Amino acid sequence: MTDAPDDESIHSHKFVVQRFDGPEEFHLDPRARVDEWLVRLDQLRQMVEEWVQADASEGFSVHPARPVKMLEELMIKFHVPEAEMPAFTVRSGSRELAFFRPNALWVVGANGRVDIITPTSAPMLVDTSQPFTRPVRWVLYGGRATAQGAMFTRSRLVDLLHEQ
Amino acid sequence: MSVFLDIVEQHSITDVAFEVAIIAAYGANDDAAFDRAFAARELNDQAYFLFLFTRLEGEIDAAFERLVANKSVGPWADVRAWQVWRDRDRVDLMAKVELLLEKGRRECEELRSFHKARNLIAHGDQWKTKFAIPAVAQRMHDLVSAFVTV
Repeated sequence: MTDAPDDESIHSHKFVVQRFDGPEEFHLDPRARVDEWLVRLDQLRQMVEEWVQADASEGFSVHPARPVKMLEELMIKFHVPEAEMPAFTVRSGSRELAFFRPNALWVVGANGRVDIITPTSAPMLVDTSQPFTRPVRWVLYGGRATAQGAMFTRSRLVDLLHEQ
Repeated sequence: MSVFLDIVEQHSITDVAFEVAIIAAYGANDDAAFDRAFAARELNDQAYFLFLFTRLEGEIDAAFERLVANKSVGPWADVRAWQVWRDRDRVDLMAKVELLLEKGRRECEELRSFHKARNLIAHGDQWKTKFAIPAVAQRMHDLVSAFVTV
């Protein structure tokens, strides 16, 4: 089990990266960025699933939720078709403890953002890595985490779930 | 602490109000209220981004003045190019940035994207891109620390 996807996972996908003149966010092919974002979201769900399964005595489980529609400004501009971002919940028995809801890929200050809604807080996960780089660096902000953020680890997730 | 991290502390206090509304809407399974609460949170983020950017501009101006002062000491033949910049009222912000950080480096491009975001909001564009305000504040803090003024 790892805290984040390994370096090799990025190489298993054939990303077509094109260069554009202009602002930074135009440098990479938006379609490839969307594809890579959806891969990261799947990997996030897998990582959380591994974490909650690591200790069966906790009784946590991961369940798919209704996907979130994705049609961002650059997708419209570059005719990238609408996509669906995978969402999921973490439960204890039938009780929902956390809803992981992808928010957006193109986020000022981050390489993607996922909101977490729990019964008592609504923190966010942001990927602070650069596009198309590994390892992914999910940082938890808000809720009871510090304003400066904290790396998203298994223990941080378990703390969040135990707070509910 | 820096001014950016002070501001993000303030942001986190205000963000609680939107967090409460989001939790309540989600608990009530009220999609419309849920979307409204997120939209309100995003507007608050936009306001705080502008606030952060004003402090960033101040830090850029101060660092640029230090750079020009440091580079303007010595024989005229050596410093004349730098003296051109002294006491100029209107120097493009990104020109200052490119003198403080190596053009083309990631840090310089990050500041350019912040500048673009600021212009889009300040000029009233219907701009839908989202913010991660605590991460923006941390990056602004780090970028200002990377300015080269000697």
